[in-house]
Amino acid sequence: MLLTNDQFLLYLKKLFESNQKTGSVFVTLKRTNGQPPHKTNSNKKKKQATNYSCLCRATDGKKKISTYIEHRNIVRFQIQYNTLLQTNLKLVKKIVKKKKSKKSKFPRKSNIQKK
Amino acid sequence: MVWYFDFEEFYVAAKKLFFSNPLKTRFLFKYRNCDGKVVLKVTDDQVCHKIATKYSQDLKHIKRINNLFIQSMANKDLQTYQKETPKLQNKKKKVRAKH
Repeated sequence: MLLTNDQFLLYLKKLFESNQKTGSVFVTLKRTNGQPPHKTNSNKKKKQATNYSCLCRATDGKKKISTYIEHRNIVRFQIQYNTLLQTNLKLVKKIVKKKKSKKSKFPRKSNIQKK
Repeated sequence: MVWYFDFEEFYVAAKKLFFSNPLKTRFLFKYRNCDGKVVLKVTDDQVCHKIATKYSQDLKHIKRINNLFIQSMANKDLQTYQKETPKLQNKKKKVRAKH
């Protein structure tokens, strides 16, 4: 289902929410020309308009959504997508174990010469 | 298929793969909430680079890779992003002695 950028992000949020207990969410990014990847044997010589855009697809195995990200919408999409990931990705905090020093509990007396 | 354990290495490999074949390379992001696991994959249907994580500290790396791909894929001119050096290299500026 091809959507606009805002609609895509809304549906993506719903995908994340509905797949919290079971299932996985897949998001794919690909560069497109607007033309099919395989060469077609067409006699008509079409002018190749090189308008590159990013095709963003998302699925949870059942529902499929997609959108085209144009050059002018990059920053806006990036900010919204990053905030979406920040809120929806629940990852574990890495516990870094501190090495226990072998020093004794009682501090050593300093070697100050008493006058 | 190559599995990576370091995000910096994965970033360099992914960038190299994308700029060698921009129209064929795709970037995949998989998230499973029940396992709390994220898997990133970059492939051009011949070579495949993968990395997995479950730690929140790696979220910034994930965002960085995402940003790289969104910006470079939607942009017409790829050379600007290709020139950016990865953060692996810590370049020290040479200070010339004043005579």
